[in-house]
Amino acid sequence: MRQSPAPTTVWIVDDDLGFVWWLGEIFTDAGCRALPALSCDHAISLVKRLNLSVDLLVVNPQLVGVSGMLQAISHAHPSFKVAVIGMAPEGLNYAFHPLAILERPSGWDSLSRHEWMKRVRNLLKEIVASTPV
Amino acid sequence: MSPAPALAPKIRFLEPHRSDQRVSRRYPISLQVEYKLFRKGRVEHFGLGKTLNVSSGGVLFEANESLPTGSVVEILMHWPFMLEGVCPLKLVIHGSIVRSDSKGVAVRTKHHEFRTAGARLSSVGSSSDKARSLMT
Repeated sequence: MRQSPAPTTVWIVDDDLGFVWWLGEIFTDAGCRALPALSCDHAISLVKRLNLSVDLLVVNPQLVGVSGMLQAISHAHPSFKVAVIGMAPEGLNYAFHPLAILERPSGWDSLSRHEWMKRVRNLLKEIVASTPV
Repeated sequence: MSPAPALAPKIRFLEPHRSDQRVSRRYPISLQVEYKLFRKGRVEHFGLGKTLNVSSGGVLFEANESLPTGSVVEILMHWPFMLEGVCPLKLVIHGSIVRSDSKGVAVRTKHHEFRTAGARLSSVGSSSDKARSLMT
């Protein structure tokens, strides 16, 4: 009997609690294991504690300690992908090329769950496409 | 035509400010919550409700009762992910009730953190709590 593939494990690292929770629900509805972290330190400790894989890291690049977190996670999970929330601040040197940029909804935009589900599904397709067989 | 100099400050004031938008953005999230009301540091009341929206600054939830404005409240939300049949992550929000009416109970967050089944992992708003390691 064929085993179904393991769900994609997505870590969402941002300091905006509402956004983290909302995006986590969308990834969960898309069939992923989504996990939250409110800071880079929090993400590192949670990855260790729960001992789960890291397939995709959705991260706010303006958080303190992003580079260190990416380095730390890459040691145990060398093939993980990165998507950034919003634009990276100028001058930030990316050792990890982001697969996608997710624009954070602003306070003036309407929030379409359907539209965000499409974005998330496209992102998941990109991960599959960019993963070597 | 450019605005008259006297109007410029008002126009700037009305322009969207990115960091303010982030803080005030409320995300529609519908999820069962447990809440506890505290009085003099002791749990005075316990109830169940359902969130209407969540932001970094607060939570709006429905309850089957009116709750007293100004009360200290703790809200517990389960992260929607199960690991071997157990929810490994819970969000605990501490705050105060700023409004309670037919639209729901509005709570201003003072502090929030995720907890696992063994330890506190994140703390926002109160650095002293980071030192505590055991989950209550």
